[in-house]
Amino acid sequence: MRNVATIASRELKSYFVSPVAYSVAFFFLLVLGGWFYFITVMNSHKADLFGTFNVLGYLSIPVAAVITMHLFSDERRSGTIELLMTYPINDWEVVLGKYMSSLLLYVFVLAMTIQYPVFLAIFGNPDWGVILTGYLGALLLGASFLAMGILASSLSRSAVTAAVISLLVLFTLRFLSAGSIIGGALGKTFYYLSFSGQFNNLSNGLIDTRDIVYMISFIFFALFTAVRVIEISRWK
Amino acid sequence: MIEVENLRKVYGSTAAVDDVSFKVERGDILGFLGPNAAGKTTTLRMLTCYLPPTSGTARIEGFDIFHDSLKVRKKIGYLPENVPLYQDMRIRDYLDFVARAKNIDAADRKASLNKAIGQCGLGDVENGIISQLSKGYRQRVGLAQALIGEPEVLMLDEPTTGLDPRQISEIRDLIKELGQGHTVILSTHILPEVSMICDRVIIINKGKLVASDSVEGLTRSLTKSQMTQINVKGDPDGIKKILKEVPGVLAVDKKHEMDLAGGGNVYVVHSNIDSDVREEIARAIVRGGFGLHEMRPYSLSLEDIFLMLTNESPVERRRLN
Repeated sequence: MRNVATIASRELKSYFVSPVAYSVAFFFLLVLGGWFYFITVMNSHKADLFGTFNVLGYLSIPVAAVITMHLFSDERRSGTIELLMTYPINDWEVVLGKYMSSLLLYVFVLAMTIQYPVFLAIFGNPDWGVILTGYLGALLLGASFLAMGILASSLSRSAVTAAVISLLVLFTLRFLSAGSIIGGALGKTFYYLSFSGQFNNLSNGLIDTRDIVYMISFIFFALFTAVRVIEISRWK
Repeated sequence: MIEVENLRKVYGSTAAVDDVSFKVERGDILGFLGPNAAGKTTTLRMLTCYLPPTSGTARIEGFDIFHDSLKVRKKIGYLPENVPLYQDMRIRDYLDFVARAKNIDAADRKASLNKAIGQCGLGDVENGIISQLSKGYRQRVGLAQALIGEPEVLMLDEPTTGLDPRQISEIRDLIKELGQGHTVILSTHILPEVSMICDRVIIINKGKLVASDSVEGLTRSLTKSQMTQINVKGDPDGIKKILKEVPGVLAVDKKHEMDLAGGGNVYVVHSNIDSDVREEIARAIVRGGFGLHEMRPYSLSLEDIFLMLTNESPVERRRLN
């Protein structure tokens, strides 16, 4: 675990010396805050975050793509991965350390949205249980997207290519939910794969073990594949 | 101690490293010589556990590079050829990260950092940002990174390229000093560097090991005759003729270089290895009426050896045999 922390803390520091963290936080809070104050507060007059979380479900895709895109591609392009791999650190510790740094940044940005429920509590009477499960959903959803971003970054030497890969995969997955209109088992499968079912359940206050298992398996699968990709890139 | 056995790395259908075996004893500095693209970097990448070998193996301090990779990595310090560093970090922060990555205990970390910073002369710039450093300083940071944790084995890939002459001699002195406590592999294509620093030398060409010996041993084994270099003024054909008549002389080569000031030509006289013909040569030249300007023993330079061993052209081959 010490090695994971070593990798994670280096990455986290480098987020804050570059404009990445600040730009991402700015973009995220601008769009989400705009939605919350103009739509939820001024138009719907409901003391919930359902609409806001719905936007977050899509907004977290570009955010995840941007904060993970450089994590492996930059190391491969500049060659620093060669030195990193000759230190006594396992490949999975490197992947997990980088993942943890991106997750911590995401949590940091997400934590800034706590102003919304606080605002709701001042002027209304929100259901705190639903808001908490909504945050759990936002966390798991973001964690899944970040894992995909790490995998994409391990596949390319170019950060831009990595970002394009994760945007394509994640938006395709998310829009699969539109396929649910065809109905039947196939429609259900599409809906389920798109994260919409899981995320909607959680932001509606419903904790279903299957949803959580699905997201955690997705994270595990993406990270595991990233470790393999890193290994294979050395065998070639 | 490094033991390499039949190491091989194949990319597609070409072997970058082909059946290479050698051994480096503790405390030795091994010069790892070869032209560009000979397989030096690939070999070092395998020894540092970055690339897995296609076949064959190596042991570092008794640990197998493939099966005990993590233990090997604790024993080595590696300076890759192009010195990849994290551009956005400050030198001290970067070296601190390296110390953590090498699992150095918090209690020893500061001392270890300070020692590496001192050895590489980075004290004045330790708070500088890596992207703003000159090539020479980047090289030093790379070396400091390798030295952190005082690994038993150091592998340095072309550590002096891109440095100015003073920096080169500083780095060479440092490597020489390090050789007293560490086992060092120094990959280079700069020949004088090897004769200056190294105890032993291996030469690799097109992935294959072509020589492995001490510098003197190599010279001795490739020297089949005694050679004397002379500088004589006069008609070259006449000079060659009288020199060949001296008993014991096997061949006379006229070199291309000319002594511009004296107007003489430079010759190398090959003679029997067990007879000293220098006095006879001098007498013959004087008797023939030619002007003897200079005479000195001629020994193969590492350049000659290197060209002999790595040049594939049949003409060169014949000269060698």
